[in-house]
Amino acid sequence: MKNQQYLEAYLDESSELLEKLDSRLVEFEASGDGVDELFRIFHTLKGSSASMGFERVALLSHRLEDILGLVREGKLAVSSDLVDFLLQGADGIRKLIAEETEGGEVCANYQDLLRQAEAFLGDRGEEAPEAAHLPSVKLELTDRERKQAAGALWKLSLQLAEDCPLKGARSLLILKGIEELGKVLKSHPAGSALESESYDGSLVVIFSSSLSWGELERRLTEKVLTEVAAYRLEQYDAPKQGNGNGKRTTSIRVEAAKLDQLLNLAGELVIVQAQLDQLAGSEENDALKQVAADNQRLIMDLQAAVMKARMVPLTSVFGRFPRLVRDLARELNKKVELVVLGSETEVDRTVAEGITEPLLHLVRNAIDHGIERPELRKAKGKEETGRVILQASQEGEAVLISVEDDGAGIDVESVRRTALERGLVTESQLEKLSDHEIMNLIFLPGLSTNEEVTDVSGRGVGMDVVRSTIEDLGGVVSAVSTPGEGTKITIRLPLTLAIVKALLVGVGSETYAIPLSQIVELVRLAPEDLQDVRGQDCFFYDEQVVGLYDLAELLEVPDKKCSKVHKVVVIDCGQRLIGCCVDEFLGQQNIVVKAIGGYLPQYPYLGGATILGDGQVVLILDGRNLV
Amino acid sequence: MKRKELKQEEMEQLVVFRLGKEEFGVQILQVQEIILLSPITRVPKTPAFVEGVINLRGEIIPVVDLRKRFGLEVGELGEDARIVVVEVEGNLVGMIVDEVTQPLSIPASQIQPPPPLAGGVEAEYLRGIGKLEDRLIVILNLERALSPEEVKALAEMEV
Repeated sequence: MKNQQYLEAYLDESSELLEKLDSRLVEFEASGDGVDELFRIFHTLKGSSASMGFERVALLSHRLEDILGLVREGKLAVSSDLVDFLLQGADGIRKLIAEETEGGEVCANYQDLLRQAEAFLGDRGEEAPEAAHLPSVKLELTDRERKQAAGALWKLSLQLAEDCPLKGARSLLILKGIEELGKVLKSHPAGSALESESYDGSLVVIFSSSLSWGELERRLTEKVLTEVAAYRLEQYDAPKQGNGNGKRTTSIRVEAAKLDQLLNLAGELVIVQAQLDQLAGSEENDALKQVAADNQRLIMDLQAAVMKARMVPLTSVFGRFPRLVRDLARELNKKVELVVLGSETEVDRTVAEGITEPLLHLVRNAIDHGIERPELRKAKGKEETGRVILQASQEGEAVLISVEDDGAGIDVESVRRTALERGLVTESQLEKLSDHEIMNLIFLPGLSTNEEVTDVSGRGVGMDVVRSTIEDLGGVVSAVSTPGEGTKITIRLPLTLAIVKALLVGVGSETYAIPLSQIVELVRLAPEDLQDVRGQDCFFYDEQVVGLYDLAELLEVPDKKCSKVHKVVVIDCGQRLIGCCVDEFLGQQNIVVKAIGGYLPQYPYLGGATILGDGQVVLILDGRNLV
Repeated sequence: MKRKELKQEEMEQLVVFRLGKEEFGVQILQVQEIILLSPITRVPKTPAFVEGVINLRGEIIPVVDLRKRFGLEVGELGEDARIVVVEVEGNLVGMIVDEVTQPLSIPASQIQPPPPLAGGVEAEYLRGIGKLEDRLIVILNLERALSPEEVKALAEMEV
């Protein structure tokens, strides 16, 4: 009866290993580096699957481990075909595990994979599956035992030969032999059990040693492990989650729901703290003011820590792209190099989960429609290998993720024509749009200009789903392109959705909040700075012509003040920038985003509401849909 | 001796309030609480009868003015004005009323189906008219009167 806890740990571990496998294999193909790690990964998969009783996974992993063993010894050449097969093998392992645990997808080509593995291995012959004979005992080290360790921790499982006389004595000799290579921390069976009549000749030892794996194996097999029918040497506790370079990070898995609750509580604390602040401010009690100030600091720290706890690095998202790009490039007969930058950038976990699909689509697009075929690129005077850059960075309260290619760029004419043909815009509307704005029409539903609807992408459903998914995450997406040179799609996302930093603005006698993640800058304009462009007040910002809108008008605020100097909030709407003129800038604040309840419909210009320290309800504007 | 069996008559329990001169009632089970008027934050682009939102112990709920909702005369709100917080189909909504009077129990037999117009309100928003001594209580159908679909439709019309 498999223990549920072990099963979860196994599933977590193997899915991480398989992810790592994908990207390491691609690296390996390119550089030839990393054989050891690949070997270790298959080895670990073999061992842990065997101990879970998943024999097929263990066998397949064993074969793949053997293949890498040959590569390591220089007996097998690295070729694209080999890497292809290894990748298929990894897929096979994935499916097998899914089959064993969920019973869903079936690994249909299991036997096939085994056969192909045999082909690669040459005539190694059938090796007895050692997994079946070895003791699978789970030994745990106590802290005290761990402290005695000098060097890396290893686990040796072995089964003495049937005909070995005096098995007990033999095992004791083996233990002694290991003591010369390191320090034995724990063994099973222990001491007296080895001397009993019924000792079966199985032994599991946990020991520490500063010798390298290769050295250990050599010395064990040469001197120590005599009259042993089968053995397995593996690192004890080897792959932990965290950084790929093997550093130990102490981490635990936490249910997302628990983090959500922490975040809620932190949010409520922020509100109450603001009230306390208010009250302390109006009292003439210095001691109270001090306490309120201290409290404020602590709560800000707590809030930051809770939000940080929900953040995950984008590595988990970016990790699958090397493999995807490689497979896609091969399928489409294109040469593509993928550059990934800034994957250590962290985002809220809901954002990380939601952004994967859109990014997949954008990268597929870049390779399918963007990057040209090698011959065409050469003819254009470009490098045959196209380049796709996947980049993430943090900018204030927002995270920027971009997919850039040096391909053909967006054909503005084509977009214009198709948009017209499909009735998505009218002639007169088109005239008012700049090239940049026309390019961003690609995010409209129904606009795919690719003539052939390839299997991979481009049914015209793609880009608008990308946009709506990103908007649901609170972000915006925009495209910039130079025909013939390439395209860059930029996604801008807020760091978190629950507690945000916002700017409070006064419009007439009302107060509104605008999330900082949407704000580019605050500017003051004089009447001379304004220009009239086709009936719309505009001003220059960052070499762009930006439309100026009166927030009081947009929100139908009954009383507004007139000002000669316009206080303007420049907002990033994705496809363009807009300027909103307000009466007052009222300062920045951390606010908790609250819903307004189900009775009122979802107004697009509204991104929820918040409660300030004095109990006042302030509406949060969604800058993307104000105009 | 024969014992007369008294049939337990079904009683409707109502919270009763005044809008202008008319008295209205809603089922007591739908009422969460009754609070004093508190500062209301206006929500742009909502229908005229939606006054805005208020802070109810940390929860943000919308508030409507029933007089505007039903096109009744809108006089000044006096000291007795209150907000009746009701729950309709899982949503909390506050209703501004001129005065809240004593809750009542009316026997079901005393409730008649509403005429086309009662108390200035169309029948489709009413569940019936209750008669109690010399009072006529117009009983509201909150699911109809405060339906989110209607607000949504009105919002789309104004765009």
